[in-house]
Amino acid sequence: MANLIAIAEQRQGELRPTGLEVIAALRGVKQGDDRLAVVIIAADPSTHVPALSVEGVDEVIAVQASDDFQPDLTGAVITELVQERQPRIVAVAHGVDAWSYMPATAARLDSGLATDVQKLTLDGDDLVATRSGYAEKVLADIDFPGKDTVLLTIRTNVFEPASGSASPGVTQMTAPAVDVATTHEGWKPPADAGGIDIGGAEFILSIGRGVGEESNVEQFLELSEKLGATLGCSRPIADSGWLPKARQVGQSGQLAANCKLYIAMGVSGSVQHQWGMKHIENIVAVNTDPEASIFTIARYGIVGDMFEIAEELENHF
Amino acid sequence: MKILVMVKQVAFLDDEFEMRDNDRDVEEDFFEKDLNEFDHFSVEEALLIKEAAGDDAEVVAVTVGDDDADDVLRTALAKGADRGIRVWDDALEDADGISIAKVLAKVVEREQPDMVFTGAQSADFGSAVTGMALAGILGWPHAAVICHLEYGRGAKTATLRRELEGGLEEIMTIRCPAVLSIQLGINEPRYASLRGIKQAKQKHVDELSLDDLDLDAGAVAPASRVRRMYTPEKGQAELITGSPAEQAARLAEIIKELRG
Amino acid sequence: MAARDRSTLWLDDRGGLITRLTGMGDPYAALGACVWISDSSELDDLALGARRQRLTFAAARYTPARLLDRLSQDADAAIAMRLARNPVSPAPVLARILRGDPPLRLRRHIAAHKRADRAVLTALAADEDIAVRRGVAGNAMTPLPAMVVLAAEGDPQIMRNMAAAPQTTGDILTRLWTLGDEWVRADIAAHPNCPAYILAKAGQGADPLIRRKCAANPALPEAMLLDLLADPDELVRGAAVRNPLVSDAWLDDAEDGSVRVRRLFARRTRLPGPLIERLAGDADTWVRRWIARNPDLPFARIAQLGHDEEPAIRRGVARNPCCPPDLLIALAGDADPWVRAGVALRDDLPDAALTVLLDDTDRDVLGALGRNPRSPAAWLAELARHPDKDVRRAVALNPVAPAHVLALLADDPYPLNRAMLGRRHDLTPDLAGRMLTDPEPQVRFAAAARLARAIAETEPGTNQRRTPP
Repeated sequence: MANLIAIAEQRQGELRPTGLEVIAALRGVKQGDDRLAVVIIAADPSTHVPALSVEGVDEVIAVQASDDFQPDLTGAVITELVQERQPRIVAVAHGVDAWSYMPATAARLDSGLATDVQKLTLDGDDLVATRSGYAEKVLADIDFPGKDTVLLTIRTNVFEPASGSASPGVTQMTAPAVDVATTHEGWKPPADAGGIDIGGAEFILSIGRGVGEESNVEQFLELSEKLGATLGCSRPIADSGWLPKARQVGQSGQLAANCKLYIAMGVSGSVQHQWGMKHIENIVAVNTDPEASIFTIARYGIVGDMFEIAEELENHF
Repeated sequence: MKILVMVKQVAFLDDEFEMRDNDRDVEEDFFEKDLNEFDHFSVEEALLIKEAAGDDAEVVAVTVGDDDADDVLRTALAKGADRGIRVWDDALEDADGISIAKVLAKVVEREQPDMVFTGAQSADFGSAVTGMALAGILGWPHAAVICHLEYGRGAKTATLRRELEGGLEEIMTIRCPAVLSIQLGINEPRYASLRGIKQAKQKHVDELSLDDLDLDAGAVAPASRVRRMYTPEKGQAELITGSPAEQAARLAEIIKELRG
Repeated sequence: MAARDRSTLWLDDRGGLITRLTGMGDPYAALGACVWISDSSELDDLALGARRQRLTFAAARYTPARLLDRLSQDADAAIAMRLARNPVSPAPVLARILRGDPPLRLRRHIAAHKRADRAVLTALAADEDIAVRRGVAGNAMTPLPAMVVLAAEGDPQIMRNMAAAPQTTGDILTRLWTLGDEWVRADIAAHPNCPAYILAKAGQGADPLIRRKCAANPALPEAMLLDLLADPDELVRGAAVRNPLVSDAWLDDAEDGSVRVRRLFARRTRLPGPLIERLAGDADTWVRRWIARNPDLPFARIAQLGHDEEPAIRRGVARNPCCPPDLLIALAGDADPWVRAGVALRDDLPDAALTVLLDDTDRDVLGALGRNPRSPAAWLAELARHPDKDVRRAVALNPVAPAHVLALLADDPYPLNRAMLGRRHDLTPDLAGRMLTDPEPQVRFAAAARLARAIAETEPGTNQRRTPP
């Protein structure tokens, strides 16, 4: 029998949905009489138990503490559980909170560690974690020779959240005493979008050199308004004075920090431009040149003329 | 006052590349190497603090890597870091973030800095491990993905903001010395002047082996091993084919689905 | 002219430059020089020495064709792939790669390559792989006999690619019309070679998509275009309005209840007077935004829109080529910086407007002034030292910036600014010599290319050479 432990996280008292994805990832490597436990650290952990009682969960470990995120405390909980239970895996969603305690805890425990894991398999008795590398250009299968316990962070939006119901036992765990080095002081909500806000925009339509001349820019402003997008541009467009600097995406311009959907039209995708947008999950590239480097980071590609596509697209909105 | 900034030389790939014969990494000829982009911000943050603190403050850039990695130290030195430390040993060939952190922990013990900065993650593998693992080994206070920092020289605490998912930021105080991983956008990194680049060639870089740090191959064992590396089956963009009208119709569907 | 230092003598001597570059051992500078010096095996060897460099330069658009050709003689599969994907690879390179019996992925790239020649495409038209044949069907260079064979396949994607290819003849389009689906038919209706009887069918058909594409056909008979301008479907009318065949006279009394169509009217550069008047007073902001840029807009209307409450409309007026000087002077003091930047971008900037703008602090305005040939040299020198790197770069992009101002940018800390400087055709050899040891590869490339060009231009028989891209 092996123990598998998922860490469910809450933020400001609300359970984060990614915990169910972690449970799903672990359920995929759960065998025979393995036991899957879910840890929740919260001011009132009992309120979160029903949502975590999904199929495959055998136990919920409830730790009563402040709702404020405390990396040292989470790390101490993991350390104590690893020492008591020798689990095979402890996993949490790959996110900013996990970054601050999983590597530190793994280093202290001398356990195995892999982050941003997108696939989890068993090869005989060996656990194999798959993650990407070189900016998503390769995949690497990773194993953990000689490690009895492995700590993992699981990429979000990959595993379908666990569902179904179960009646796990609830174990109360006393929060370990830790020397707290950080103190929560408050929150700063995302900046309010005012004027041209590339950094805050969730949907950006961006144009590049392919637009050709200044008189062609206006129709993309009109199109972006119709689509409900913020219009962005590459450096040559701003350098030419065709659009204000505030709209420039990339290294000497803005970082599209909150963008979810980015449509790049006539943008070749220079390194400088990519700096501002390559992290975006949904990039659509429209370019006449099938070898334009923008296609290497795009999720969807259209090899075609940006004006033809734009004119056709207008008809749908 | 002394700030250590841990920097990394990262590799980028063009679209077409070949694997090494052992299938565990990409053939070296296909790498384009550069300073990790996050590190431009951590170096800048250290330099800003140094400049505010005055002359007796020191910024030391540290990297783990072979001679090739000297380039990234020189970049940091050209921007204004005072000296560099490069650690290398062939035993580090298969190093992961945990191994590197074990090496860096010894450097921190040796240098006794007031603050340690790293990039929030590296642009090649994005593991986000090294900095916070280092803090774990040292037992130092730590915080990841810092997008704002108020720290005066010699202060016992710093106030910072962590950037969370969705643009929400958490305000925290932290005891110092601490290890902080720095997020893109915390400042506007400078570019080295040509004079700075020239001067950087004269600045001192310590080259250390594992021996010099009282370490051996066993002491820097990684927490994982790459078994096999390969190209994902669907790494390329999904091509939307058809006539422009057809492509636009599909694009309109994608927009309606994803624009939120 | 100041006497030259001995150390710069190599600048105007071919042998000296080659010695200097080989001494530097830098492949980027060597490659730059190779653009203009085509017979130095030392430079060629230096540029293409290491495999890493050969891989990089095989994919680069700035690599001279001669060296791409040399690279294609390598039996290196990764290099062949990069050459096949490089849009500037010349036809003989692609032909040589094809003779080497390349793998499927490579053949797909060659099939879609814009520089593939007829023989290569004819060979690939018979390829066993359907994706290769689809690529050939969409390639504008594919010869007609190969197109005829491909058309007979009935593959939907081949038909789409062919219906959009410019060389597809009326006969082939006729064939495709019977075989294809509505999307193919729509593209056929838009094709300039579409036979008249198919156009007639398309224009009267029930499918609005096909009527819309028909309305956009650049060879449409007048009567059909008139019909489609009155089509019940606003998208069809919109496509017809954009057709360049629409004559001004038809639009004199044009009215349309659809905002979408009126916006498209307003986008047209040529519009009859009465229609301009009506559109300039349109309630829709976008209609007025478009009209504000129209050079035929009467002065009274320009003045009116120059005071529109919508800044984007005032910006349009500031960019209107016929905007009168007095209005430009007024707009130079506009509250909105993007309007002022629009004035600052004009090369007919009145002195009085320039005076106002020289006091501006907005970076878009300063950037526009930095590029503006009307900006005084003393002011450009100021901007070349501005703390904002984008403002400094604007000076590097100014077509008439004098050499002493450009020299200020040679030490710019922002690498891209030095790169922009390096690309200038009027870069002096002295400055290029200084930039030859720049830390940025692209700057060294440009500097070496500039020095080599200066030498090539003084050599007899080589001054007719076409300027490389």
